[in-house]
Amino acid sequence: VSKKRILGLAVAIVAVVLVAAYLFPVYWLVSMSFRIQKDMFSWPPKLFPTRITFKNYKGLAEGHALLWYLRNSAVIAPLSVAVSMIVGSLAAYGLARFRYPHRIGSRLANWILSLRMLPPVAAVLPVFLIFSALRLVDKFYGVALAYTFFNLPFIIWLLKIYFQDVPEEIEQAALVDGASRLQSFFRITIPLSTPGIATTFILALAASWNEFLMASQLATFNTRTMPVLIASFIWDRNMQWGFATASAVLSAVPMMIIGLFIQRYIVRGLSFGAVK
Amino acid sequence: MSPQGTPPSGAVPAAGGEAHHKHWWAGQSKWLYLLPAMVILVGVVIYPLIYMLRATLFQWQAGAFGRFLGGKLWAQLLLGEALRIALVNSLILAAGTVVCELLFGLVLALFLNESLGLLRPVLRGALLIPIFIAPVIVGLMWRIIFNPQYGVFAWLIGRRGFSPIAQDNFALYAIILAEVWQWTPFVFVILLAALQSVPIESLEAALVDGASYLMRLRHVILPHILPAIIIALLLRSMESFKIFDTIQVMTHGGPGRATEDMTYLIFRTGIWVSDVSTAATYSWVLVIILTALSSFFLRYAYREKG
Repeated sequence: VSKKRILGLAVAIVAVVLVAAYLFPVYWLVSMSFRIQKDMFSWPPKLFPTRITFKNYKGLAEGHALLWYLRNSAVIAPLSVAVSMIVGSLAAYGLARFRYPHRIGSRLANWILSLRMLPPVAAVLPVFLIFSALRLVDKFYGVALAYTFFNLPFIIWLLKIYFQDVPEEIEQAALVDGASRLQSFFRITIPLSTPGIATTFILALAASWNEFLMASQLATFNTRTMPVLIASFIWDRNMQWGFATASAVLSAVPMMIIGLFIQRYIVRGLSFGAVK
Repeated sequence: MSPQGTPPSGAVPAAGGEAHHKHWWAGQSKWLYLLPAMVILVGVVIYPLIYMLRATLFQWQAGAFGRFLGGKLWAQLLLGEALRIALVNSLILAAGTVVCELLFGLVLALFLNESLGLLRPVLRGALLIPIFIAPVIVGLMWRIIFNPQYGVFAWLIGRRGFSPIAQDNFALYAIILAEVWQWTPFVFVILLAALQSVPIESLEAALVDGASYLMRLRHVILPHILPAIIIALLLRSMESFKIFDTIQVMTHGGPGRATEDMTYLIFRTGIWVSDVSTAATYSWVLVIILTALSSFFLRYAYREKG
């Protein structure tokens, strides 16, 4: 028994060390953002800073309109995800539950999946030109609409998987009892796929919050988002280490807090029905 | 697409057509579910792609379509060196990231599936962190680590002044590393959930039969988690040709064109150089390749799942 115990302890220690090593880049980034110049640029690199400073964060708040960028991100990402979730869940439900003539359903589902493979850069130029004509460039709803380019296919595809996992019979029973299709969708299918919906939501939200390419082209001035701010401190050959790392930390924290709170759902959602 | 093997939607029993309605539109409400999504997708995906197709056929200049090019641009670019380099880089990036993510994710999941008690959810939660970080930030992290003068990597290998992202033959692998670092945990979480649902009885039965660990892995564990592996593979493959942010932050496609993939090539020609017709042609090459790949891939994935 004691041999087994020692083995178990060894596995646990190795696992902790492994995960800690895996997350070292995160520690390094966070640690950089609190360092004074001398500790940032030292050889050999210092594992721990000699002194902790908030100078980088203060500089960001004072000289770089930090709150402005944070607010823009906080408007655009939820707006785009909300629209995509509403529209996408309806489409996903349709594809999961109804039979369409000429196999349109499965063809559409496959086509939507292939859309998700398409990089935003393939459409960003015409989207910019079209949006310019419609005066949608540098508007919250314009950028949010552009984000449906990658959010919608992802949401439809993922939600379709989750909705298909909800047993059809439960819904049939409700329909027999006189509920309409929409009612049974809202009262049965949606509550029964909460983990899947939460997972889809947080993944889409993180993708929108973290999006850089479209933001750099479409959110040109008034609507600039956090990733654009971070990237503005990173140049081809050089960068402003303090501001870059501090803005990166501030941008990452909100998503991590949300992720932490709904972690339980994410783990269940990503099990794709394997663990009930 | 459920792990239980529900067939694709084409085979789901019909439920839209309630027969007791007598109007011709009875049961047609199922189209309304798809309509809003289709309108948006036509607006933000189809129309832009058609616009781009037009730009490959007519020289685009200063906001207007000009001279008819026909297939001239296609012929010129298809034979060009830039496309070849970018395609090869894209393929290496896609294959490299997906294979490594699946492999490392599986190993990590098998390892953390051992009896860890309360430690497991804590470690799993910690490993979720990279998933939520912006790719721009991931690129920034690795660029700091790979800094030639003050970076941890140069210190670890004991060669100050050396940076893989400044080397022709290493830069692409540095990008792969950054991507794999970010997304291995995603695969890990999916596979760990699947591993935890492997029935203990069949594992015990295999043990009684005297099966070694590798045999149990091969004959009990892997077949059971195959649907999860396919879902992880699909989810990661969908993203594998879109790598851009880490390249932009870490290497700007360089040194030379060592890390210029299709995405970055389209960006450079279309947005830096503002040669819209060229960028449009590259975009369409990519659209064609991705459509072919995904249809091939889906056919295979569905067949595997029976």
